[in-house]
Amino acid sequence: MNCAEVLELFSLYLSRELDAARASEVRAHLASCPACLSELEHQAEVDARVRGSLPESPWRWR
Amino acid sequence: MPHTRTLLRVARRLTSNPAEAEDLVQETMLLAWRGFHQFREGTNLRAWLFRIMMNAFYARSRKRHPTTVSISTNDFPSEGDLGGVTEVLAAIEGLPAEQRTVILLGVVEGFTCLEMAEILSVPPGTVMSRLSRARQALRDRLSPKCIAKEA
Repeated sequence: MNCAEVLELFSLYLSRELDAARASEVRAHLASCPACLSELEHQAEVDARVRGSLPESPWRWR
Repeated sequence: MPHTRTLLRVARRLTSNPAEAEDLVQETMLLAWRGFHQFREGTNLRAWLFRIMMNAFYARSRKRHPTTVSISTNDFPSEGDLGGVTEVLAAIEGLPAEQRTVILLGVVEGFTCLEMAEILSVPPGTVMSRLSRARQALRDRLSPKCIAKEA
């Protein structure tokens, strides 16, 4: 699996939708590619910031 | 009523103000109540409710000008804005509606790409490319310094 293929699968990897074999291939690539690992870490950080900025809204019936 | 708080969280970022968001959620719950016989037992109720809400949102958008999100300073405490919340919300606001929607549904609400494809009635590949572009855009808009500070 090359960088382009891994980048294309990041969304599915982050949402844990890849089957075990594909996820394993992605992990193997990440273990040997600092650039893709850094890319994934940045995406995960952005996701964490987005989640942290949007708590559930209080609800009231009007 | 189950799921109203998470529906409202997304509605608030799709619509232009809190009142409109609450209207959208109330409309969603009413439509769900009326159409509950169409819900297939054993399937994902939350995804079904979000699908109803997105359809209602699109129907509203077609009737008027597309809405933009207005981030009110009253939404969150402003004292120092320690988590950089305003910056994140502004970055989300700046996304095109299609990208904003997948960020809200996927990243915030935790729906999978397949579930989003179902909710939005688009192919899974479309969801993935929207999500990828949205994440890239958010990365570009959020300062690295701020991201590092959060981590």
